Amino acid sequence: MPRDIPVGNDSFLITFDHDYCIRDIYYPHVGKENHAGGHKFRFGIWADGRFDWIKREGWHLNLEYVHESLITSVTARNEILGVSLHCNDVVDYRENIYIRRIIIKNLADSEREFRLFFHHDFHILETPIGDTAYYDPDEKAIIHYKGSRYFLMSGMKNGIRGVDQYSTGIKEFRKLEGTWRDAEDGKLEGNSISQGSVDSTLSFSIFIPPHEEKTLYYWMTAGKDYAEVSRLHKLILGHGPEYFIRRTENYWKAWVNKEEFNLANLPQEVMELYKKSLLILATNINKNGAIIAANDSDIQHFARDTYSYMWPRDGALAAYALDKAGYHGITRQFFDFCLDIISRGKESVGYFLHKYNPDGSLGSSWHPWISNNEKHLPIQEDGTSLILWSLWFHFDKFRDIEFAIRQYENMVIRCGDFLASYRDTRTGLPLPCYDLWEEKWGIHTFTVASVYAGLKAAENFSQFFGDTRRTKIYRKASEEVRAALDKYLYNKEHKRFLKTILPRDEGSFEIDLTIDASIYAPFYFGVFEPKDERVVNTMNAVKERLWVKTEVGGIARYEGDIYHRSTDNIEEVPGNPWFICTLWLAQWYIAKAEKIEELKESLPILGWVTSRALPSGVLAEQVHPLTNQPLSVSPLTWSHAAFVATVLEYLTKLERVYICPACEHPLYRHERIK
Amino acid sequence: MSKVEDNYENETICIKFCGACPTYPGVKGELLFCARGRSVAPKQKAGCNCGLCDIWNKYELTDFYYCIEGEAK
Repeated sequence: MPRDIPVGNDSFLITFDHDYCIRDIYYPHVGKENHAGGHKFRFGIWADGRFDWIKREGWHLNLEYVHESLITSVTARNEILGVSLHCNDVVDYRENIYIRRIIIKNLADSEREFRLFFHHDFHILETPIGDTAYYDPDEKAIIHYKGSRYFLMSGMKNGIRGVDQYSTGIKEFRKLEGTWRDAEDGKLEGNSISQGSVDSTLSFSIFIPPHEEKTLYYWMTAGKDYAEVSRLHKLILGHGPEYFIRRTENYWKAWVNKEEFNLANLPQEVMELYKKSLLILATNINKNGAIIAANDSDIQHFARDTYSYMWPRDGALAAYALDKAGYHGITRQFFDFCLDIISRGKESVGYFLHKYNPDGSLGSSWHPWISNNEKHLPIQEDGTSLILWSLWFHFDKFRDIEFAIRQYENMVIRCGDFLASYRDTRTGLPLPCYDLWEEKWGIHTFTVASVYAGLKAAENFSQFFGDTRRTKIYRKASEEVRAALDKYLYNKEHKRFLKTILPRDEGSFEIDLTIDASIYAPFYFGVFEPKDERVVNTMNAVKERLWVKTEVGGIARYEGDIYHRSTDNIEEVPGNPWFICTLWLAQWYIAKAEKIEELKESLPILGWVTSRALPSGVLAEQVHPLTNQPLSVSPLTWSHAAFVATVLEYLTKLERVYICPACEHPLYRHERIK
Repeated sequence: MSKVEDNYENETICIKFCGACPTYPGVKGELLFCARGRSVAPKQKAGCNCGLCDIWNKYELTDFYYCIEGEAK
């Protein structure tokens, strides 16, 4: 069940499933140490002797965000129980405090007692072994702890702290299901401590007159010891929960509107998704700058691993989008995170490996270091080149030279030298590596185009800093890569770029004729002009073959994609539609537009994305080609980053093509004049 | 004839960089490829430390992988 409405700060992240159950609790890194591990934290209600857990089935449940902020707006209505709830979930922007405000409305004609139940199924440090859950009478709270990880849960009603009922218990052991079962009769047994594989439930009771509503607050604090969770608990009590809700709402509103871009020329739904995308992106960025691909533990059931890693490619493309949107504070941290990686270990020779954990340690990998008894560098070279491409974009926009010289001396020349030299001296092509989809070994159009862009970035930096020797090296290398891309990867017979070629021993190449959306890259990374015949032919082939011919539409990743495949009808559904691949087509329309009418060709695709998002604005990696249900992880950082980048590329181009015919000055300004 | 001098000083600089390089062939006695030429052992490119080496800067070299490609011209 994909995740929705994530809320978090840069060290504490909470995600929900479609039934409004908390499923992932990340602390102290965004993406590292999932103390919920995908297990359900149920939320239930008792009234008039009836009980139900809030979920899609039997409830009118709607999960969204408050306008332009990182606070949820969840409504749940149950006619049988005669109750409606309006909830707001918030993680304070600074402190590791999660608060849920619940406005309960009694829909009946008589005063009634409502009991709300909050269940906690922690697996602290990602294992159920050795946890403790207990009721702490000093705090009037339930505390779960293991080692140096503590979580305190409590709440407030009618201005008074504390809970009305609680229980702790054993779960996942000898058929014991946990205290949530105990809650279903509306009463908790009050067991005050449990150790081992444990859970807990707490409850509040509230009386509400007919057709009136009352407000209740539930919260969770996270810390490394008792003193920290207690301090945060007292902070909430001292200021009151509304203080944290209000300040966080204000902060994110200010954050998402800080640039005052002129978005008025965009359709309303595109403008809204642009801002939601920025906010959702922010939930996937760790305090050290690591931009995490996704934090949806549901994917563990599919692959026994997660997306909670910093992939250099995804991170670089997200940094580009964030820089375009003006968030250079975040991206500087990201590039420093990369610099730290490239300064040590195997990476110090100038390449990034497969992926990294949010704390900067090397992530899990399936790429071997040896093949056919020969050493085999297990890299996706675009991960290295796109970091340089993105870093140059950052510097060219913000001109933060003190930051950039450190990056140049310690990262750019290492990676630039690597890109320039890790090539076949005969062809000028980069040596084989894994593709951007992490599946194929070979020489890929996407990778080669990105290497060109990385070398141009290195050339720009070296020229800026007066390093003429390296400027010549990088320029010569980029020219050779460009020529080689044309010679070896553009196929004149099929009139398009090839996805991949693989060198054979005798010097020829095995070619892969699969049409893959990633062959858009030569125009996007500046190797060839967007109106170049080779690019036009390629993009037409992508559009023709990869557009999904169902009501859902969208562009598939490549012909015959089996990742989360949902139908065998390959002719009509070459693969599931991906948001990023569909947006690449829009980016081409934008890049080649010379008139406003041409530019508007991209708007239906932006509209397609908004219509395929969840009501909250969350974009998954892909959608089901027949049902439009989200597939694979959600939200995917790259999907949101691609949307943000595309919108801003549209607005930048609009400024250039929407001009006064008489004086040729722009009739539209992308950035408001302050 | 290489533009890099084959001397003890350069060798002691080189060992810090080639010695730690993932492409270093590891053949006994082989070092200072930019001065002496390519290694006798078969090698595959796996990243190159030449660009970080003080010799590379001192002699204003412009290539990499001297252990594979041969001495600096």
